[in-house]
Amino acid sequence: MTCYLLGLSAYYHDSAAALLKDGEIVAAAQEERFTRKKHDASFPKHAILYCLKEAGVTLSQVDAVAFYDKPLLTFERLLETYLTFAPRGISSFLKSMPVWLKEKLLLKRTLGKELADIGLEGRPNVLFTHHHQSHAASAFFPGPFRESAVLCIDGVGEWATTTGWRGEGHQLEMLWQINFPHSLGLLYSTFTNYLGFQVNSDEYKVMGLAPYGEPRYVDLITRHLIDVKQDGTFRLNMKYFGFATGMRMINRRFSALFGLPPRQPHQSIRQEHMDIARSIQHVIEEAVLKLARTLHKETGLPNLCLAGGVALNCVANGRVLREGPFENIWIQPAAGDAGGALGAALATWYQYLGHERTVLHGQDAMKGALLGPSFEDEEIKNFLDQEALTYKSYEEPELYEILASLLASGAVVGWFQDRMEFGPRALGARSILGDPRKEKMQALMNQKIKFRESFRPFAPSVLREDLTSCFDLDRESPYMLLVAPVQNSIRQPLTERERTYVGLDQLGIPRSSLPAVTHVDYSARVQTVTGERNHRYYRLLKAFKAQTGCPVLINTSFNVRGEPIVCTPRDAYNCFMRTNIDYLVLGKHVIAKKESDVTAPGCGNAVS
Amino acid sequence: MWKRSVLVVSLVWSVWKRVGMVLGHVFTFLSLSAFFYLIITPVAILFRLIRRDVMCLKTDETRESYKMSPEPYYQDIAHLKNPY
Repeated sequence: MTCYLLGLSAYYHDSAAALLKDGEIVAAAQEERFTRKKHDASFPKHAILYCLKEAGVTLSQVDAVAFYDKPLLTFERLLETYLTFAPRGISSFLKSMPVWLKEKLLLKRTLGKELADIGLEGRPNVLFTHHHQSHAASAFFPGPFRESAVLCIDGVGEWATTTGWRGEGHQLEMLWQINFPHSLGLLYSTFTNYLGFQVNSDEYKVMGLAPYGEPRYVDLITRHLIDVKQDGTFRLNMKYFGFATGMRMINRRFSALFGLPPRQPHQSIRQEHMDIARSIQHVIEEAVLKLARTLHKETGLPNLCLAGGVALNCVANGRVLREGPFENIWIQPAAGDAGGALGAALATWYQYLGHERTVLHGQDAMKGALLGPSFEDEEIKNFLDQEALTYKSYEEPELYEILASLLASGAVVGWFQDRMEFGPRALGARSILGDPRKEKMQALMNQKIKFRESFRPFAPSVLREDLTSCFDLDRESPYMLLVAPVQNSIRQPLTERERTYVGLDQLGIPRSSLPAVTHVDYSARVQTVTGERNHRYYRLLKAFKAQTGCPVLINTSFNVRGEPIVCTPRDAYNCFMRTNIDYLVLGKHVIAKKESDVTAPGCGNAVS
Repeated sequence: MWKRSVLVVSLVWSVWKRVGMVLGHVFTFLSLSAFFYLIITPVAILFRLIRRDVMCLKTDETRESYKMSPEPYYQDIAHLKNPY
C-alpha cells in the first residue's frame, strides 16, 4: 500500500509543507507564497492543501504528519534561559509565554485542530523530529551520496545550534553538537541587526555588502565576541548580546565595542559598516571551514552535505568547496527552516520506518527544487482572457528566439514557467531575467525593478557546458548556493584611478565582460542550468547564446523588495505591473508593458 | 421594543467583551510578572550562587574544544512519537 508522509514546519519562521509518496518527494512549498506574507510563520494550511492536490490525495490518506521541531525541548530551553539571566528578560518573557501557553505547549492538540479544519477525519498520527535532525535529514537523504559527513549550522532549534553528523545509507548518526546561546547563525543575525537590516530575512545583504569593506574588525570580534577553537567549535561572550533575554539582538556594550551606534534602516551605509560586514563574514567563513575540516577528520569521508540557515551563506560554501578537505559538497536548496518540513518527512521515512535508500551517484532527489505549483498554458490563457489582457502566444522554438532577441536588446523579462521553486532562490521558474553584458543592468534592475539597495549583486545562470569558460568552478551548482570567481579570461583590468576607489564608489566599474553579475571582488553566485532539470530555461539560455555568443543570463527572484516570490500567474502579473519589467512571459504567452510592443518587430509571427 | 432590547444587549455584550479582554491582558501581565519575579528570579539567583551554568557562559582558554556529546535522545528513534 502506498505510504504518504506529510512534513511540516511552522510557528517560528518560514512555514512550509512537504509531501512524500513512498519516500519520493512529490511536492513542497512555503506558506508565504500563498499568503503573500514574507517568511509567514503561521500554520501552513495553503501549502498542505497544495501538496495534497499535487499528489491527488486527501489529508485522511496521509499516514503520518511529521513536525520539524520538539516544542517541549524548545520550551525547556526558554525556561533555562530565563533561569540563567533573570531578572533580565521580563519583556521577552511577557511576550513569549502567552503564545507558548496558548498554542505551542500543546502543539499536538493545536496541530490536530488545524488539520481537522482542513479536512482531516479522526486523530492525526503526529510525529516530532528534532530541529537539527530535520536539517540533517534534509541535507543527507535527498543528496547524491551514499555516505557523507553532514554539517548543520543555524540560529537555534531546541538547544542545538551547530551539529556534526555521519550519514550512511538510511541512517544518520549525530557526532557532536554545540548548544544555545552559542550560535553562528545568531551571531550573524546580530550583525545583520546592527547594520540596520532585518533579522531572519536580510542576512544575505550583509554577505553582499562584505566585499566592499576591509576585514579590519576581525581581531576585535574574535577577541571580545566569539572564542573559536582550532576545531571550529566556539562560544559567544554573552555580555555583548541581547538576543537571549531581550527583544533586541545587541546591547550598549556591543555598540561601544565598535564605537558606532546601530545603523538605522534609513541611514546611509558608511565605510565602517562595510568593514564590519566584511569582518563578520570572514569570521563566519573561518569557523565554518574549521568545522568542515574537523568533520572530515572525524568521518574520513570525501563528501559533505550542508543545511541550516548558515548553509545559505554561499560565499562560505564556496570557500568550503575550494579550500576545504572534501571532494564533493551538496547543499540542501531549502537549507533554512522551510527545508525542515522536508527533512522531518524524510527522517520519518528512512529513520523511523527504516526504509532502504537508493542513491544514483551524482544525482540528487530534489528534482531541481521545482516542487511547487505549476500552471498549464490553457489555465494561463484563461486568466489572461478573463483579465482582458493583450498578449501573444508563441510555440517553441520561436518563443526562445524572440525572448533572446528582446533580452539582447536590453529588455528585462519576467519569466514564469513550470513548477515553482522550493527554497529561497529563484532557479528559472519564477525569475526576472536580464542581459549580464550590459553595464547599467545592475543599477537598473536594483533600483527600477527590485526597488532595493544599489550595492546588491545579481546572480548569473549559465549553461552547464559553458560553466568553465566564464567561472572558476569545476562542478555543477544547480541551486545557486556556491560563489565562485569569474574566470581571468573574461575579467577586465581596472585603471589606476579605479583601483583607488573604496566602498560603494566601486559600484558601476565594469570588472568583466559580464559586469552585471561580477561582484566587486570578482565573484559571482553561480547557477548552472541543464536541460534535464529545467528544460525551458535551458532552451532560452541556448537561444540567447546562439544570438549573442553569451551563455549567461542575470537571474533574480520574481518579486519586489519585501514580498515573497510570485506563485500564480496573477501574482506574476501584479508584480509585472508594479515594476519596470518590460515583458512578462507566462508559459508560452508574452505580455509587453507597452501594449504596442507586443506587435513590435521581434514580437511578430505570433501564433494567436 | 424588541429591537431596542437587542440593541441594548448587543451594546452591553460588546462593552463586556472589551472589558473582558482588557481584564484578561491585565491578569496575564500581573500573573506572569509575579511568576517571573517571585519564582524565576529567586531560583535564577540561587543557581548563580551555586554556579550552575547550563548555558556554558564561560569561555575557557585551556580547553581545546567546545564540542558537546550528542544528547542520547538523538539516537533513540522511538522519540519521534513524543514532542520532547
